[in-house]
Amino acid sequence: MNIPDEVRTAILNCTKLVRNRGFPGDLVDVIMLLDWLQSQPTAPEPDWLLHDDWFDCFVMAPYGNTAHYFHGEDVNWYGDSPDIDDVFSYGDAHDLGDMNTYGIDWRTTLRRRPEATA
Amino acid sequence: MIPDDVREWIDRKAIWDINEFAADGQTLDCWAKLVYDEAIAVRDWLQSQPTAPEPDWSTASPDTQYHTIDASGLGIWWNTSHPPQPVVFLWVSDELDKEQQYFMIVDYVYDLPLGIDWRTTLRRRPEGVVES
Repeated sequence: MNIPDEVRTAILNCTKLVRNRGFPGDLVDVIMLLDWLQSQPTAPEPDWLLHDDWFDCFVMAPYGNTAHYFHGEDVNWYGDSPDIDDVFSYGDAHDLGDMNTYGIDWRTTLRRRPEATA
Repeated sequence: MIPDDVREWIDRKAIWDINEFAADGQTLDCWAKLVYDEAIAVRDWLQSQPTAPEPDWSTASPDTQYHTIDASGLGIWWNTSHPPQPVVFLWVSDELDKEQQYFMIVDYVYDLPLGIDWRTTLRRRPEGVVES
């Protein structure tokens, strides 16, 4: 589940408002919910400065432990998803270390170099 | 993946609490209105999120204990005593050798909705469900 920035902002605002004002009634569940949402992992984002323009795509591996920069024309595509075997073969892998990616659908982590989308 | 209890919290509890507060005769002041609007925005987003496909346990053989969907959408029934683990982009069990794994019973090729992490699709056989 990738929570978009605007939803994260709404969650954060909601949490602050409820906490600061002590909303009457039983809002323990609401606080728990907001805390849970807020604790959800964010998807890895590319640092395009790590590679030259040739690497114009970025995606997290399905297992969530690595992220890969690759050239879009090097790989086969199934709709909007790159062939992950091709990505493994032709891309440049970066270990995500201890980053928690559980719950992030790898197919939603595809990013294209901004210049390439212009 | 959004757990069912979280969906219920936001849909019933969060909005209900605020509505009850208003119904108590206390007018929603500016602050409460702001909370309400934010909660509605979060609720709407959560409700728009896809739900993971669930296996039909009535079609599973009696010794099947687990069900998974791998990154390609392939649904698999498991008759292992321990749950399989996600590796690279599919599920594996250390109770099975490669050949056994190859002949696992395929359930169905699911169209896993965008936003569902295949690693969250492990399901254990529910109590009391028998083969039809």
